[in-house]
Amino acid sequence: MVPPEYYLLLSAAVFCIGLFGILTRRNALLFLMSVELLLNAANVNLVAFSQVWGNVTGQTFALFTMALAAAEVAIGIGIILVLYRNFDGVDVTDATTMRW
Amino acid sequence: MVYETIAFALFALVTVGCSLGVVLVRDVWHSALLLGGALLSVAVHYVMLQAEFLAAMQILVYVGGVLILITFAVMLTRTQPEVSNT
Amino acid sequence: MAGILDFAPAIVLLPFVSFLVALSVGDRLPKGGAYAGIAATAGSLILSVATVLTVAGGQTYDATIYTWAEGLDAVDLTFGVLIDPLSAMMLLIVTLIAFLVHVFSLGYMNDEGETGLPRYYAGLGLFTASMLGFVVADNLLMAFMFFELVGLCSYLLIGFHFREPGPPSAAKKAFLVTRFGDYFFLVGVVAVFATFGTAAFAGEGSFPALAEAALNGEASVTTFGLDPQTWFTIVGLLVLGGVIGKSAQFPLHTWLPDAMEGPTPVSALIHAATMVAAGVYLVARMYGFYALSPTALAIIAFIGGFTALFAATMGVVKREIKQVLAYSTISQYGYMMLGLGGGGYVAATFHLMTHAFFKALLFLGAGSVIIAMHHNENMWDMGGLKDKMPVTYYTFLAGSLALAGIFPFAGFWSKDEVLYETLIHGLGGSPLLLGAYAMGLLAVFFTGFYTFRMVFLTFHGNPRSQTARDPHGVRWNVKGPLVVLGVLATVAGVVNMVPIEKLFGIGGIDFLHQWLDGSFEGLTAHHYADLIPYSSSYIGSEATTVAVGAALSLGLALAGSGLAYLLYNVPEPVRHTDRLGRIKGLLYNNYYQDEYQVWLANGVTRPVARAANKFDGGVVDGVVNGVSGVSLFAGGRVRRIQTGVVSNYAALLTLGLTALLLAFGILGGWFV
Repeated sequence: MVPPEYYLLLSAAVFCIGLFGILTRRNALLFLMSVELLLNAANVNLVAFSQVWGNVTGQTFALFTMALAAAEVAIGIGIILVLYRNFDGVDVTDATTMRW
Repeated sequence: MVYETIAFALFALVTVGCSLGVVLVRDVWHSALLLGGALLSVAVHYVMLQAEFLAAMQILVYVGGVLILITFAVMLTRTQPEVSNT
Repeated sequence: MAGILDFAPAIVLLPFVSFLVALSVGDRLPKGGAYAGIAATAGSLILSVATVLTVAGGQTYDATIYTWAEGLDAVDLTFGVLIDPLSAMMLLIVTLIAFLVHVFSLGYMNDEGETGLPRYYAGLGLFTASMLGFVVADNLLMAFMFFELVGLCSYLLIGFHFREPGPPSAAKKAFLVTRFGDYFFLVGVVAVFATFGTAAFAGEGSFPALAEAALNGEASVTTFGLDPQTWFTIVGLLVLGGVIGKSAQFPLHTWLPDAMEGPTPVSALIHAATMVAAGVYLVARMYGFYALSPTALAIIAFIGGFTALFAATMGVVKREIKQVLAYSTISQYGYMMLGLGGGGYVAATFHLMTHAFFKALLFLGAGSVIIAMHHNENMWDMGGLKDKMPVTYYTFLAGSLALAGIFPFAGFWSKDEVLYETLIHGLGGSPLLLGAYAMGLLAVFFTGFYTFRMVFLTFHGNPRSQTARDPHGVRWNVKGPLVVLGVLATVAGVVNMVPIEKLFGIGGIDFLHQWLDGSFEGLTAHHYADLIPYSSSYIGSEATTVAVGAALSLGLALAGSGLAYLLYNVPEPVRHTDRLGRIKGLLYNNYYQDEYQVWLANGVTRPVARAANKFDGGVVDGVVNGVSGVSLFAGGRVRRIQTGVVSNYAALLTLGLTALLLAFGILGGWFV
């Protein structure tokens, strides 16, 4: 059996990659994908500990996260399409009207 | 034991590599495909963690649902000039 | 007759109904709603007569009609009716005068073709109703509310001719000046509630009774750390503020001469029965409270005596007949205050009654003259009206004799008793009272002079203008009230012939004394006589004192009248006022009281207000503006982090999360 520390490292790595994507990329779709990466990193973490403790609590949480991710993507797609229609592109730095 | 560790290392490499690809490649379409790879490799990790049901769900929900939606979005928002640029 | 007192609220409600009728459908009724008012006041008059007869039979009545706020920390605010000899007498006076004024208004307003009559009669109805409500009030708060209603009605009626420049200004002045006094009254009412927890006039738990018990150490009341005697004096003086405003005592008398801008019947009502009488009546009503405080009594007496003299001197030089009467009213109410302050409760009440009759008579007579003169009020344009309008002349003469205090007219008896009571109590060791007495006595001379100057200028001599040669006739509705009041002004003195009793030893003809004794325990004249902090002393014997006092006041009145006779009862009188030189200007301008008060407003109040405004605008607003300015500035800076770019938000989010994790880590010792 693989030690849980390895999974933690993997999870942390994927999480950092996702964060990096959010902070650096300007494409709204990349935002969406990076968020998926973040959620998956968290899921891996949950499932790894679920195995360590020998119960399914972590797995159950992971299931909820999946449902949440699916919903989030559905909404996100809608937002991105509207963004695209209104600003002729999916660059998030273009849409700066919602301030002050 | 050793095989398991080797398998983990292999798939961890795939996961991290695909993830890096997602955030680093210029073309969004390629990003989407690499995301699919990353999600699938995470499903493999689930199997190795004896969470088979969750692995199945991962493939069904993420790869079958979320990724398809993202693909739609990528196709719908692709603009002509951008294609010619890349 | 049992149970007739249960109808006492109807006395108040009937004029109120006439107010509603005149207001709502008055323009569709004949005579602009006059008959509704006449019927209502006649009904009230009949009920008042029945009430007086019942009270004469020894019954009194005190009932709470309606509790409109209860459970407030043991203080219940109620409307109640208190019928005792004092209020019964006042009811009779008010309803009688109001009835006669309504009838007179038929001649003065309707026959003269005035417009806006429904408004006029509505005002009269409400005026009468609020005064009657004030008279029957059984607690101080209810009295205050009706007191204010009376003030409101006076405002409405004085400003009746609101299209002319004078009346609205006079109405505003009357309203504001009396309101200034009422402000103190309101504070006094609150003080009474805070001190005694009740404001009832009569009964065991009434506030005068509680105050008396507290002074004797039998009860404890909240006196806010002061000696009870001092505190009661303060409360009494606060309430006295309202009295001074309403009864036109110095220095708040300035509204009353201006109030002559109102229609003459309204002046009669204001001066004789309602507005001005309200102040004196209030002091009489809570006399049991004032009698406990020698200081308050002395102040009342001194203000009264001073006002009596002060106003009488101003009345001497006036040109308009109503102005003379206005100053005489101020002066006469000064006498009443003098009587009350001098310990002559019955005397003051007596003077209130006789004055109501003869002053209403004089005003209605003046109204009759004004009708005849086509609304010219200048006495120098009159003259010789004696033969043209004999009814008015003889009734007016009766009223003038009463006003001047000539034996045996009503005013003589009451004024003499007021002065007598002040004299004996002053001789009993109160130099302040003696001073007030001296001023009152001196005012008798001036009263006689201005009264007969007015009579001679108006009715005697040769006519001095075309209208006086051919005056406008008056009808029964003017003459009727004049005759009724003329008879009363002549004979009303018999209800209280104390001098005769004292001089000749005939017992039992001081009917008013007996009448005012038949009240609730604690509200009787005897009780008040026991309470007042004066002792009596006489010049020689009691009879001598009576004789000397009466002879002095009668002699002075005759001297004043005689001087007026010499100067003005000639075919072509000349303006002797010019001989007064600079004093004439002083008197004619009312001792510059108006100017003085305007100066007070302009020279003192306005700079203070301006300074307060500057403080408000500079400091208070400055602080508020400074706070908002800092907030605005900070907000303007802070909002710059809200760029609208999602990436920045994400970066901030991450930074925040990292900072939080670091904080947790350092505090939680993760890195050790």
